[in-house]
Amino acid sequence: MKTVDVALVGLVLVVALTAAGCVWSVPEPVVIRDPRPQPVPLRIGVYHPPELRDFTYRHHITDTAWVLGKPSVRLLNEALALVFSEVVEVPRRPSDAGPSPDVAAVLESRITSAGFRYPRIGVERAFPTHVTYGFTLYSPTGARLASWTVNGTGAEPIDNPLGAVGTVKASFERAMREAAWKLTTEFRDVPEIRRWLDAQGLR
Amino acid sequence: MMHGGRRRLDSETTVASPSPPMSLDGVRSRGIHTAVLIGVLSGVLGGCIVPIPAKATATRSADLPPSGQTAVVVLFSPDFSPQTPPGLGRDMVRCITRGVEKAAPGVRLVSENDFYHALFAARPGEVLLRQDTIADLFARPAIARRVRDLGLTHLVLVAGETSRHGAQVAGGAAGPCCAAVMSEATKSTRLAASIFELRQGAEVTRVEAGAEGHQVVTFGVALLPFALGWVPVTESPSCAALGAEVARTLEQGSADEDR
Repeated sequence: MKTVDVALVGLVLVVALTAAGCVWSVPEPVVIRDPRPQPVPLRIGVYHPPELRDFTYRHHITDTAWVLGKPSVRLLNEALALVFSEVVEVPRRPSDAGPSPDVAAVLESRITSAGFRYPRIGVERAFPTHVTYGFTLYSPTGARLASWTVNGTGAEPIDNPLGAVGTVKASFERAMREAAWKLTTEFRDVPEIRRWLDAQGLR
Repeated sequence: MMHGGRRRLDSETTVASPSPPMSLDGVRSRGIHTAVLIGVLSGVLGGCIVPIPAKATATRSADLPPSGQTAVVVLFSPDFSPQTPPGLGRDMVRCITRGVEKAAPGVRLVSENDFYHALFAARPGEVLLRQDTIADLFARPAIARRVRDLGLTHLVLVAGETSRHGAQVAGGAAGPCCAAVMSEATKSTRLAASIFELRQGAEVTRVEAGAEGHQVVTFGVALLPFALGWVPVTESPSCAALGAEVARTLEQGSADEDR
């Protein structure tokens, strides 16, 4: 075991325990625009439910909370604007009782998993972090068309142990950015999406 | 002793009593002097951790193919080198920029903002600069045309990290007022600059610089707290060596075509 790493992790733990009970906002990640995907020429509705908008990850050891929902909403809107020619936010999931007639489909987003862990001593000098987004595509009348997830990871190197909070924030930022990048680039690879695009006469 | 102690207590708690001022002031004065003495001694002894600049070396994997008028942008991208701490990445960009300004007068520097704005109409972070995306990005006709318009010939991407290995620790105590812990390790910095030729979108050479040194630090208490030892400074000399070597490499590539 490396003494230096033990000292590093110890210092990080002290900082983290000092921050116990705090709620940290994570900066909104910058969406990757280049290389950009060929946009799908459809007007699509996006529904971000309250579970996504208010999503906060709570770390069980340090009792710190990390606000991920708010930055995710804008990030996903910007990412989806690269995937489709037009994107509009809709206030609810479509259903027979309340269809969304002016869009080709409605995409519902959520965070299915998120978190970070402490570095393994002697192996890592970062907080491995992940964010997984789940998506469900509905027809304008509410029929489920496709469902899939994208996962992003982040591991910002620890520059200064006293800045551990900033390092975790940056790691979440990276994880969300990578997940959004996968959403834009891997969207057409989802088999159900391919079938739906075929049905729309699009490739 | 008991009597003196009670008198001091009385003087501290009874505001109106005619307390002996010398006694209280004396205690305060001695306390302040002791604190100052401990502070000064700790500062002096704490300063006994001596930073020793390590000797840095730099190498390049190949000479730069001649390209005539050379214009270069130097960037740190966390996508290209996720293991590089952002602070070190930015320092490396500064070192190379300074090196080029100082030693490569034939090389034109393009700023990071101009690069992202003129080529991609984007902000830093909106373009995924990674080993596997660079060739495709610069092969796109619109981007290739903008690269020509800007006169940009090369992209330099930096990566690096500092690590400590072979760490050992030992400690001991002799009585309640005398204890020490000594640790030793080897500190090593490895920095690299990958130079891409933008017409091909391929890495044409890689400049590496590094430095290594042994560090010994002892912390302890011998009546007073102390810290003794030395720590090698590896990042600054490596960074300067990298900047100088990248500048030489680019200048030679630029000069070769002129001949």
